[in-house]
Amino acid sequence: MFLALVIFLLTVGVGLFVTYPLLDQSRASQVVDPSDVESLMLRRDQIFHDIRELEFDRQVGKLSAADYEELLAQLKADAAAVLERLEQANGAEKAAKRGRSETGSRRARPSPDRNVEARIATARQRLEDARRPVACPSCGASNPREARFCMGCGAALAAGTKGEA
Amino acid sequence: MRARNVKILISLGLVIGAIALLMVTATTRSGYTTHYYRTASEFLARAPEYVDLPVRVNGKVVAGSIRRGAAAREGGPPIIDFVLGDSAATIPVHYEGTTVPDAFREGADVVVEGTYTAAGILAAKQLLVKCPSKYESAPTPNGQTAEGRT
Amino acid sequence: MAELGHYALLLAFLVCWYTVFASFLGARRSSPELIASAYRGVWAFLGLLTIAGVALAYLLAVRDMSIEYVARYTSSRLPIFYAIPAFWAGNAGSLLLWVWMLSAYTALLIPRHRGTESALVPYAVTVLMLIGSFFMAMIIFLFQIDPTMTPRMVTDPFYGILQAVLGITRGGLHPMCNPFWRLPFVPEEGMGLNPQLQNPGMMFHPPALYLGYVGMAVPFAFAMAALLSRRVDNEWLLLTRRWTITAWLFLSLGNLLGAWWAYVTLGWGGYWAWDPVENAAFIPWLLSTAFLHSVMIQEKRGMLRIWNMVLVITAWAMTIFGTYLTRSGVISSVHAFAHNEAFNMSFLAFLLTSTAAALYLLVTRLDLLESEHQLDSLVSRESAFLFNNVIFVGAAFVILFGTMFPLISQLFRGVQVSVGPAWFNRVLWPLWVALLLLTGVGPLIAWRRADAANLRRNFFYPTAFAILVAAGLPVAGVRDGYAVGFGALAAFVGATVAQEFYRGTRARMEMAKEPAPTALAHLISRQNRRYGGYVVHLGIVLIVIGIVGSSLYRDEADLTFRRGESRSFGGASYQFVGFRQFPEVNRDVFAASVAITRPGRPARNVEVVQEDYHAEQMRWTKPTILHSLWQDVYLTLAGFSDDASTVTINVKRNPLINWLWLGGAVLIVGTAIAMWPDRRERQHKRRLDAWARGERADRAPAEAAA
Repeated sequence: MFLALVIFLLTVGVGLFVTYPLLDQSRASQVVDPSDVESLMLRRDQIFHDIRELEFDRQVGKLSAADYEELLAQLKADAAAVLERLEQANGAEKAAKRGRSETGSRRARPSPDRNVEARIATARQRLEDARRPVACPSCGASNPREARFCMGCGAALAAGTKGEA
Repeated sequence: MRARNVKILISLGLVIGAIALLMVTATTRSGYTTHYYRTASEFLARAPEYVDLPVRVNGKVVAGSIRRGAAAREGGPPIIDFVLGDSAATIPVHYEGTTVPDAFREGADVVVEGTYTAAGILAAKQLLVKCPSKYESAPTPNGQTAEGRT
Repeated sequence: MAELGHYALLLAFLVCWYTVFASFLGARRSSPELIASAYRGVWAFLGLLTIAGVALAYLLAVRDMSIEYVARYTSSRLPIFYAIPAFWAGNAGSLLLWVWMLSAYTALLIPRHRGTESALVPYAVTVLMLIGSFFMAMIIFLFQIDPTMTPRMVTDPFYGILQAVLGITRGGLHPMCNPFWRLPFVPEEGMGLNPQLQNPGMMFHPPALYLGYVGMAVPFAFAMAALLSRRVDNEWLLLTRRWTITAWLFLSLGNLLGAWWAYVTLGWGGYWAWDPVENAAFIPWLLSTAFLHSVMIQEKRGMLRIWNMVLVITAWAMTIFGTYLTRSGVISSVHAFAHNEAFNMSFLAFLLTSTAAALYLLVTRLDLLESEHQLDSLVSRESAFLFNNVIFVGAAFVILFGTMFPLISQLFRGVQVSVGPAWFNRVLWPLWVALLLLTGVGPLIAWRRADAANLRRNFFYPTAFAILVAAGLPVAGVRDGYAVGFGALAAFVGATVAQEFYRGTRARMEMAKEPAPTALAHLISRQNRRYGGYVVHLGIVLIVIGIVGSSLYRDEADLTFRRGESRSFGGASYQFVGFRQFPEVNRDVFAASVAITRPGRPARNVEVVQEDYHAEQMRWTKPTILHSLWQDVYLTLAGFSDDASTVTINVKRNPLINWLWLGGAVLIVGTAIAMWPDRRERQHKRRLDAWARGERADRAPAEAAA
């Protein structure tokens, strides 16, 4: 009999436990339905990760300069495309949300597109800096960035050999 | 684009073809890679075909048939002669190896790997006894183990 | 207790079905309440199965012999730390373990923080619970009619009612897979556990392997969820990355433990026999390794998406097939034994139905799975990974074919022909060579297209080193062609790994101005996936060395001697010193003492034993193993005369075999490193959290999610 009681209690307990959310709706958790924006952001993260890995591979010497340039250009083009679509999707979402809620967007989500563009811009900037020639402080001649001694006067240059960090 | 696809398909095809070739040559080269696998009665029904071929015969050690002869060397494991059978037929087996599986005993389900001699004796190279536990059918209420088939 | 366990199983079965419907409908209708209820169902399922598991463990611990399962696999004198793991010694208990693990994995998928998970999770839960419901149905409902029983002897109310409902009047209904079935009488003593299972290896090997088997259901479930919900972008890959590696980790561990157990317990000095049951555990490992690699291609280049789906379906199907093969007796093996048609048919039906359903889902969503890019060149990393996959899958197919060969030959030639280890080795060794080569080439070769300069830069030193080794080995006395070949390849791969670590560390040192040790540590922690993978490859290299050494250069002899006599073998002298016989709690022990002397070192005494187990009526020839990095000396007591004046000791030398186990350990460590969540995963999680918080602030309560 004790056993029967235990089983009965178990059954009732499990039943209540499982059906509780159906009875008390206010505490239900939300299921996030990541829309296109989320998958675009995923794609963007992937591309950034690939750019970082590409830079690392270049550092490590696995890639030639030519390969690196080509792949980087490809990735940057992909990134630009994704960023554009992200902006569109974001804009559309924002408009929809603004239509629905009273207050302005109290979005806890950080504005990713601003960050992203900034990052791409800085990355681009850095790369261009890396390639821009340096002026010799002594004689003013133009030297490649990796040069340690001036090609014109032989003076020692600042040893900024690999600026692509 | 198309030339590249063709190249890929060709190289994949070569790999797959190589694998297939390996399989076929290993299988058709009879002898030590493949063994005919039979139960005792199936085996005896076509025994003459198997003379001097590597075979695996499955059956039970017939009760009372194990004879451990004098050791080939003193202190070594004895030579074992026993009879392998299923419900329909029996085959004498002769084994001289050192590795006698621990589970080998009368009534054990055994797979004998060896060569069938013209004299009608299975000269065993290896005895494999089936693991007595794991996944067997349930015992009947009077405590004995029911046999395999449902 | 048994009744409690039994009814817990029944309840669990009902809850399982409820969860299937609740999670599916909840996902379809985006209803948070249904989904929350479904998640609670998962927890309830886990809880109930835990109750059942604890009940069974208790019954085993107290040796309640009225329970059939306890009587089959334990005895009163069995030590308790073997009696409890007898849980998975038989079919019924191991099925319960299987489905318990499934419920635990599913519960781990449920987000702990409210409000943040991917929409894929409810669908994945549906799939996992569907699988679980099959196993529950097997455990509860699979029965046979025992002709020696009468209906009245069926004391369990549930089965009594079932029998009445089915109108079976003759014989008694006897469930096949329910571990809580009570015998109509209480036997005096149990049948005991096979002594060879009374070993720590057997305590860990089945659970580890099952964790791997069951673990492969999770990526499969997410793949199906992706197809069901039509979200086939890389999200499902990212979510399942950890689970895939986890399942792979346990599959590797399970296989390694099985091999190790066979080596130290079974006494034949080997660790792999190409037995069907071993193959059944190896095939899913091969397929999941292929999957792990091809996933990287999909992540990087959006290629092979259809292939990945097919691969994950196949890998999972092979785990079910492996489970089936082990228990069905379909292929005769020294492991599998019983034939149970109902069981076999059910499993096969489940396998075919689920695979067909999965493929149907795939075919109807093919349009969503187009590749983003094409293969640019045959000499590229994509290409290397593609070949890697083809060979892994090819090897899996070969092994499957060889395993099923008796059935195939029966079909075509009417005669059962089986293939032995020689067949497997002959067909597979070129594949292992190719895979080893790819292991070295793959990580270094460039994406998309590798030109001559790239090849030179990356492969010069490793190739040079390999040539050096290939030239040096014969000089050192290694003349066997295979040994030199594999040795050179191993050297090549090892050198590539070393080169990667060296270059990476040096790059970090320059970039971040760190000293070498810090640079190395940061390198591994920041790019843990890549460098963890390299460590795994290193483990594989060590394993290959261990296998090649022990296979090609093993040596053995039977030494027969009288007391006091010596024999020499393999550079050592063996002397039979003494013999004793003594009883233990559950067995009698026969021990021969042997003194082993190597030149220049003191003698070592070891005992080589045979043990007679009382309850199980089995004699066990236990191997005594002397380990060293260079070789194992493996001793077994082959025979002894009645008066113990003469004994025969079988001595085997297994060179380099410990490199196998060492490599296994390195592999596990590498996997652990690779499993650490990386930056992308954490970002993804953080974003979902933030999104949910933002959403909830905006959304009106009654509205469904967008």
